[in-house]
Amino acid sequence: MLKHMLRRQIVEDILGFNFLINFVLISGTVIAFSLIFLSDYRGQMDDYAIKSARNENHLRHFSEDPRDADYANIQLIMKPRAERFISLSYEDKFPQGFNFRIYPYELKVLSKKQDITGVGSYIPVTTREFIRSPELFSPDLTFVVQFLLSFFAVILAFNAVTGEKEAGTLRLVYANPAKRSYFIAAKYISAMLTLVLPLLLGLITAAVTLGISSIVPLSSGFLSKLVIFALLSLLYLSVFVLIGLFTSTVTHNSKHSLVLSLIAWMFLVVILPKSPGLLLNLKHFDVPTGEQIENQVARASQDVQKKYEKEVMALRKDEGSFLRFLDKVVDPEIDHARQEVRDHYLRRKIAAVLTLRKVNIVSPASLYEYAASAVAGTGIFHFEDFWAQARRYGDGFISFLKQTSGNQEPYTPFEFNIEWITNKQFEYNAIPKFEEQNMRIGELLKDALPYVALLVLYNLFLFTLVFYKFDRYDIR
Amino acid sequence: MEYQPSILKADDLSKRYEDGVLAVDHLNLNIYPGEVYCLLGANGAGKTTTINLFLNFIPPTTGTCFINGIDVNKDPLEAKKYVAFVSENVMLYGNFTARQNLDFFAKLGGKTDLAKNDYYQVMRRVSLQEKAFDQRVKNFSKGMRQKLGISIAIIKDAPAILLDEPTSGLDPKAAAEFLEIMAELKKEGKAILMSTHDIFRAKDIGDRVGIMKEGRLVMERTRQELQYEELNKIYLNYMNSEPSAF
Repeated sequence: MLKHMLRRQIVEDILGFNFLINFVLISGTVIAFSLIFLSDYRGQMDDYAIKSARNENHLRHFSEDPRDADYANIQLIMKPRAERFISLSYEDKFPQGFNFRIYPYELKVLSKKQDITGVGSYIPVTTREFIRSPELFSPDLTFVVQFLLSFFAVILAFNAVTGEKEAGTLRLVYANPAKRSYFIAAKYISAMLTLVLPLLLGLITAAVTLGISSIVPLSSGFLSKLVIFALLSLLYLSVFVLIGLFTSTVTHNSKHSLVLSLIAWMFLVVILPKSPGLLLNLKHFDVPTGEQIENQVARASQDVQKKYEKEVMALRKDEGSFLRFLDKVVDPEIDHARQEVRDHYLRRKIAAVLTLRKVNIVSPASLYEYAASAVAGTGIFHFEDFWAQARRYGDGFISFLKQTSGNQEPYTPFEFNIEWITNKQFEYNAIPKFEEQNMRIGELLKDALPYVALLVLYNLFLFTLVFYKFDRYDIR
Repeated sequence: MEYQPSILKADDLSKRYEDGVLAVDHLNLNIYPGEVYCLLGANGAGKTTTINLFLNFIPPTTGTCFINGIDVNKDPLEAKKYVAFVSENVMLYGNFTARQNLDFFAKLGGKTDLAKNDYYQVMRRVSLQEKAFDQRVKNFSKGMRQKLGISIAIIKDAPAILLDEPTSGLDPKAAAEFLEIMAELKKEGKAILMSTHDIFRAKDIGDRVGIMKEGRLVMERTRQELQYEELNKIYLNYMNSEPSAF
């Protein structure tokens, strides 16, 4: 029975005008987005190559003359990745890297606007930039599914019941021994299949366009993320098919169900995910500007100096003890305090983004966006991981210097001792190099799991609601 | 004469809608194999509600409907295996051809082993033009759709057929053809319940005729009884009187 109902429904949906429009629009959009992405990616690769060459130059200088402070810094830059095409996730709003100064130790964010020669100057990354701006448009696959396909999902399903009621076929169907659940199941499965075809075509088009360009390396990791993204997209689109079906079971004519469906779509995809960003951005997440942070950093230095004022004064008479005290105690503590201030504000910014996400989980569109971002390894997940990699690299670099000096004392990165590099040269190949590592699929899925679980719950809730309502639907 | 149980049975059937309207009031009805029962009545008399109750489109407030001895409310899926339905305005899937519609509804009715020729044969039987067999239904006239509707009922081969004002809006020729098919189905032993406004056709085709008023069956006559009475006068008489228990 289900088979017959399903077959008829699929033929009707696929022969329909909606499907053709859907097909053409999705393919066209994906091709256009692929071309935009390729152009951006080429620019990012050029930028990355310049910065990598600069880092190599600095490290070579450092290996030959470690005391030359002008070269004792490296820019740790995010590697351009194809996954940004799956989900851009406001990546361009996040700091694009860190400036790592070897001594005194400092890890300072670089924004996108950082000039490659402007080492050391803090470019403010404002709250409004850092926390997602309420943008509607983003040229990635997530946008295609989140906005376009979800809209088609609603359009496909809104008159599933009301349309047949108006046409008079519902009565004829139910004059037969047809289960109500089968009717809804057929409508649901057919709508999903009708959405899957353009989605798959879109993804294949994207992979082929990127592949034939030979600019973007299509690794197996990227392709497996694309497959996971497709599955995730089905889970998301299912929500909107069910919303369409639900509106169709609570109304008795197609006009009403269309209006209700469009209101629901507008609310869940546009208004709900965007409004907390606008409201909370300004009121609750008033993170200071870069300039204010630098003032805080300076104040932290002064506080440490004040703390040791008496001891420093007392030691002034003995120059050796005085310098040793500054090197061993005061300076490391100042560097530590300065770094703490910077890290503190960075953590606050990340916390602001994550808090905003918690507010937004009521929207399936937000859940999908966050899950897609986690699967792709972009956005806030990417930034957090990148920051951890940058810190590990910084610690590892200082550790390398200490080990090569033969010093076995416990240390923190801030307790750098200039003696470790005095009159020394390092073999360039032995010096640690930074190259961003991609997160493992397992880690990415772990990040995506809470959002996926909520999307599953959304689906289950709507499934129950739709079947319950249709079971009581007046089909006369 | 061998006793035959009724195929369609309404047992003390009542339906009161949520707005308080009593659409069917303690209706008792038995329709036997090879019998055509015509239900007459004005708009809102309860004819369509009775059919809706038999098809389990709505639950009864009290009483029971039986199709082939099966309680419709308790086991609607089983009961609906034994009934076919033709509505006042047969609406089908417009993007599908006549044969595809027939195929779909035949399968819904449980006929899964039919060949293309079986469909053509049924469509010929109801005098649907050959060229229309593989045409999309959206361009069909009402008469053609009604013919296809009766084809669907025929191909299901159910012992009971419910017809809700099937000749309404048909031209006289189409209506006459429709009733000829009814007569054939009756001969095949089908139990037919037909709601209609058409007093003259009811008299022609009906083995029994009932008149409903405000949900109650206020009169019932057999074909033999109607030979000596004028149904139109009886009908008008009942329409102008207060309803009373039958």
